[in-house]
Amino acid sequence: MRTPIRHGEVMLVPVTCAPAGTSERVNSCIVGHSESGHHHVLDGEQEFARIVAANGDVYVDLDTPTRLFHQKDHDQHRELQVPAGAWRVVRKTEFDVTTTVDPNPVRYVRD
Amino acid sequence: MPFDEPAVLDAVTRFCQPRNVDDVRLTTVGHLDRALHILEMRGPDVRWRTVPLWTPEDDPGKSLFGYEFKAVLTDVGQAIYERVLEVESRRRRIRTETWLASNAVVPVSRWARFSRSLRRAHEAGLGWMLPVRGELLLVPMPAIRNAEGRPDVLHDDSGRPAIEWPDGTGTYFLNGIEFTKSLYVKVIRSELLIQEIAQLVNADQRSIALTYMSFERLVLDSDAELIDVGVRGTRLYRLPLPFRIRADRVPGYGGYDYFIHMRDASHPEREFVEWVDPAIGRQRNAELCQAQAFGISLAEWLSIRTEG
Repeated sequence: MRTPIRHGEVMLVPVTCAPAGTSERVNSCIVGHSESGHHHVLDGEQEFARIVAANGDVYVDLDTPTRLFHQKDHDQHRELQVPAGAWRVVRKTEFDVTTTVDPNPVRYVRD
Repeated sequence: MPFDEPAVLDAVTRFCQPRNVDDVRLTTVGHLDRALHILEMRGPDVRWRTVPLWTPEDDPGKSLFGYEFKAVLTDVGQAIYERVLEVESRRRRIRTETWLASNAVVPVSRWARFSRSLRRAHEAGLGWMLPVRGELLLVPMPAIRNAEGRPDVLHDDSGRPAIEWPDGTGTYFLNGIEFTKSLYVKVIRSELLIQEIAQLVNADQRSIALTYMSFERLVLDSDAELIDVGVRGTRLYRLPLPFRIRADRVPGYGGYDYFIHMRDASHPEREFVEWVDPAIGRQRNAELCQAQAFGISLAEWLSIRTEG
C-alpha cells in the first residue's frame, strides 16, 4: 500500500487516479518551486504525466518508480524513490501571524 | 536592472526634442531622495505641466496598449515603483500626488506607455525624471527585492535593503513593512526580547518582529509553554502575548500565539519553528498542526513512511 511521501515542505499524496485537467508528458518536472532555485524535482527515465486539475491542484501519474531530488548543492533533502502510480502534489503553508493584526484597532481615550 | 546611461541619455533627448523641452542639461542623480531634495531647492520646470504625453514623432506604435508592453511592465511592477516614490517622498514630507499632478516628478514606467523613447529609457534602467529649473534630473531604478511568490510585497531578510540604490543605500522592508536599518538588523538577528517587541510603536512591526524570534528566544526568554509532543516528534508550544501585542490582534484572537518546533528529516541538526493557526493550536495536538499545514488529514500525516 502506498503512503504519503514527504520531501521537506513538499508532499506527494497517493490518489487512486488523477482527475481530468490539463495534462502534459514530461521526463522531469518541478513539484516544489523555490525562488532561490532550490527546487524539488521529479526526474524519470521514462516520461510521465503532469496534470493540472481545474482547481489548480497538480498531480503526477508515474508509470515507473521515479526519483525525487532536491536541486541544491548543500544541506539538501535526501533523494527518494517515488513508486509508480498517481500522486497529488501538496505544498506546506504556514500560518501568517501578520494577518491577525486588527486593521481598525480600538484606541481608548486617556485623560 | 543595470543602468545603461548612454542609452538613457539618447532616449531622453529623443523624448524631449519633439516636446520642445530639450534646451536643458541632462544630469543623472543616483538616488531619488537626492533628486527630490534638488527639486525642492530649485523648484520645478513649469513648462512640464503642459508637456504632451504623446507626439506623432515619438509614437510607441502598435504596442501602445498591446500585450508586448504589458509583458515588460506589469501592473505589479507599476505598483512597486509607486511605492518606492511614496517611501522617498514621505521621508521628505512631500505629497506625492502634488508632484505627480504637476509633472514635477515623472515616473518613466507610467509615461512609457505613450512614448517609444521613454519605453527604451525604461528598458535601459531609467526610473524617474525630475524636471527642475534649467536641468532635467534622471534617476535610475533601484534594485527591488520582493517576498517569494509575492512580487507586490517589498521584502528581504538577508541583510540587504529591499529598495537598494546604486550607491548601496536603501530602505529595509520585511513583508512589505518598512523598518529603520538598526531595528531591521535586530529583528533578523533575533536580538529583541518579546518585551522589547511589545514596545515597538508600529503594530505591523510588532507582529513581524515576533515571527523572527529564534526558538531559544521564544522558549527561554519569552515563557513559551510546551503543550504537546507528537508521536512523530513535533513539539507544540503556546506563547503568552504581552498586553500590547494581544491588543493588536483582531477581536476574539485570544491571548496566545502557537508555534511548532521540528527537525529536518534529512538533517536532524537543523531545526525549524513554524507558526500555527490558533484555532488548530488550541486543540493541543502537535501532529494535527503539521497535517493542517500540508492540507491533509491527520491520518494521512501519521501514515508517512518515507521522508527526506
